[in-house]
Amino acid sequence: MTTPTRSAAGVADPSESGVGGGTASPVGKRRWRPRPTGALGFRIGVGLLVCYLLVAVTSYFWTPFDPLGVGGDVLVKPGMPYLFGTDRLGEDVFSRTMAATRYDLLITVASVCLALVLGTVLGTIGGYYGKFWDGAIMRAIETFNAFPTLLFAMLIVSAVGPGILNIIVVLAFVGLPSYLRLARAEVLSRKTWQFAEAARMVGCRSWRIAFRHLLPNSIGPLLAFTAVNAAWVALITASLGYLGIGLQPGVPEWGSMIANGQDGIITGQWWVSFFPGMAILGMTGSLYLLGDGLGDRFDPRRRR
Amino acid sequence: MSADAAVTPAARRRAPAGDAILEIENYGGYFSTSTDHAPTLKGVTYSLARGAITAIVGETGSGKSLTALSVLQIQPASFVRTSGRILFDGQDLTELDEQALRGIRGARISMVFQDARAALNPVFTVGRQIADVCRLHQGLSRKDAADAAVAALRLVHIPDPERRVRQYPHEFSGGMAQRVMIAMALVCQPELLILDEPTTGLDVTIQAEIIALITELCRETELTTCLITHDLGVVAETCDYAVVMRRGEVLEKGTCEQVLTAPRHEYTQQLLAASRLVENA
Repeated sequence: MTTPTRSAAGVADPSESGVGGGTASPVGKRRWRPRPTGALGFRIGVGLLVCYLLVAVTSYFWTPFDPLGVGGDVLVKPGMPYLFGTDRLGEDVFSRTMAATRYDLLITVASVCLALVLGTVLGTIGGYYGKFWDGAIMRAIETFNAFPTLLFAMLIVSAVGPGILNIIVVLAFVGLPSYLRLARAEVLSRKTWQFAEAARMVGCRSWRIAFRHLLPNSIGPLLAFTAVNAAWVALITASLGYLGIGLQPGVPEWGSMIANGQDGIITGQWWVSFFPGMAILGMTGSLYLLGDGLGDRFDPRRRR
Repeated sequence: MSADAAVTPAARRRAPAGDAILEIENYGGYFSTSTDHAPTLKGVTYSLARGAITAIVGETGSGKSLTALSVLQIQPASFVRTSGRILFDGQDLTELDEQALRGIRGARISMVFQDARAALNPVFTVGRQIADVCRLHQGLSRKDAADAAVAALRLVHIPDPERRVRQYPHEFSGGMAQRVMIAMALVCQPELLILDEPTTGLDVTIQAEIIALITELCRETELTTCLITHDLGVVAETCDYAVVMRRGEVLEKGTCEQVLTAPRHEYTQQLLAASRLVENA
């Protein structure tokens, strides 16, 4: 359901930039991220995410069938009344995909927000104040970075046990270093700029300079990264679900739905895995588009 | 000496005989990053007379900007003070704590930098940046501060200030951005304005406009002004007093008239000879 719009964006991209590049230089050198495409991609990304949100909210009140209801006909092909078919246990794939949206969306958004806020604050402190704080924060982060991310997430989740809150905290924790590094590098590169000095000159406190003057300059790159990182977190969430170490067994989640249906792929029951897979693809895709657009939007020099 | 008024029109006005608002006494120090810790400032001593425009003249690296930054205590962290004090209205600024300094910066002493466009934060509108200074020091409401920003832009003759306050720094030309900086410096009615080469990097015509604006504003309000420059023409036209610096030392100081027409130090003579003033004289 999400593929047509996404591929439309993919088609629009090169053609738009081709036009832009053609007018800019006869050699046909591509302009970096032309505005119309960026704006279009941004709108598509936002639009898709709003759809996901609506589906997630709707699933609380209404789904065609009970997403946890076992006992219908097993492995029915997509059609009416089972829009996406049913799985081995006779559960409606459409209802389950809908219900899974709320879990995947909640986990992704919550853990990304947590990582963004904590990482940015710590990174800004490290970047601006330097010396002891910077050293302490960076050494701690490097220690965690020594472990491969997915493995680290798996280890902690299996240690603390399944559950939505646990997954959110773990994923936020795992994503934290990237935000921290980005915020730190951004603030560090700008703290010697003259406007930081000028802010000090008019009598601003140091935290005010760091958070109110320097950080807003980095908000574009940070949010752009956040959106792209959210796509990655959505994938990790699905991966954990697929490996069966995320949520409690039986809870609808795209990753675990794919795992449930993977035997069927060989025997011809493709729909059990296909639709949750498409849902993941659509969500990661729209987050990427969003990230692309956000980078432009928060820079007044590139706006207009 | 009034016969020389043609050379220094500013001197036609009686140089205000007021007391000193700022006294820098024997201020010296070095950069800890330099290998030999050679002193960068060697006992700099000068004072700024209340209500007058004082020029600090000297070549690049003479320590004139560093001294000015020290007044606000925002000199580079690697600068180590070895001697001296800076008295502002009787208070030693080198002894004040950070909180007390914050109350002075932007409120009682303002500074305008060389490159105005770099000194403005690119992601905020200029109106907001000026308003922020007001709110910080005068505790104005958002609305009052916004009005103050418009008034400040009008004061520095920026056309259509109601529209311009909503624009971002990149939408301003260099000269207009420098006007914004001056507006921001003056918005809290400081007692001392330090201009660090305010016209460097601007077109000659724009330079003249900015200097005229500065002179006008300072004369109107009898604002004590310290103009750091290496343009002796500007000094002759606008300033009451002049201080000549080289390699971290004050070589000569006195009224503008005296320094420009009867320089005592050889270096000042060289500076004058190198400038266009001699042709005019």
